[in-house]
Amino acid sequence: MYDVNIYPTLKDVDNLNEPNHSMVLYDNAKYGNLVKYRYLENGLKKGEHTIFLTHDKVTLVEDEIASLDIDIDNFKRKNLLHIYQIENILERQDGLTSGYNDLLKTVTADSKPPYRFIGCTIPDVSTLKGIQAELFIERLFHSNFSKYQCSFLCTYDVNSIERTNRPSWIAQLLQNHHNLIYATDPANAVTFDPDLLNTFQD
Amino acid sequence: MSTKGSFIYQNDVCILMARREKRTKLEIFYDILTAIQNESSSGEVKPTRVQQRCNMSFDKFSRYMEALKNEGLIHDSSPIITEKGTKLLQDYDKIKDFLNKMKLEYVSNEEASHYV
Repeated sequence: MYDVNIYPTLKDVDNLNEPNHSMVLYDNAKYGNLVKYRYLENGLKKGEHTIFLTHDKVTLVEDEIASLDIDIDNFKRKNLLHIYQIENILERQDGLTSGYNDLLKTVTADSKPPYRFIGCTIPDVSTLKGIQAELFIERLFHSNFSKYQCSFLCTYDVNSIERTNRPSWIAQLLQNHHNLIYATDPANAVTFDPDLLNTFQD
Repeated sequence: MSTKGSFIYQNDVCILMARREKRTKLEIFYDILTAIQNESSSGEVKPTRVQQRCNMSFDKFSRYMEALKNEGLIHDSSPIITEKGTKLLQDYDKIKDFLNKMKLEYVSNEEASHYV
């Protein structure tokens, strides 16, 4: 496992309470990948069925994982690591809820709980339609979190989030996760519980 | 329209954000933890002294202290900051920087009323 000295925020990833629904928000793909794959490796080492969702080619993800010295073949042999290139559920005729439930059913078909997911459901959140769909799914998932028997790290590139109303989208994303990992340069990266941004109810 | 914590919702859409006069949990926790830290540097930490430093009513202070315990930021038995609490103090500026960078700054009541 790569050293936390490379990127101290990885220590926060190691300390996340389980199960959790967390998000990594990154402005640099290199740091985003360190967090994603650390989260993935932690699950694999615990013997969890770890499911990586991508819109790119599976081999691309495999290459990135291998570049971090994670023993990809070993975990695949043990049937713990599953990488799926997922469909765009926005294109489905039967709606987002149905599309999302089918997606989860498909990617967990060869696995058993507790699951660990890493990824983002909607491929393009730079459009209004895309980010609204993503938020719909985040709310759906977060409000039913306990029934999924999993941990989930949602992955967002800050710069890919719809531009005109970005602060509001980010605020809403924060409200639907247990933890935020802000993956930026090591001096400014931070992990916190977004509930801290709320006020006490009178 | 409904309010949830510091976020303002309209038709289930979050607009942004807090009433300036109402501080977030982060700000309250930071103030109390800082007061505890300052008190501890001068010896035993007395809750009443911390309360005075924070300029809070007894009821509110008691409630927030309970929340600090529940969050594992101070010890159960005495007002001593835990490792997690120390980390929050260290991370406070980074969290504020993050909020500024993402333009998640707070808006006043007056500004917020334009959205609802």
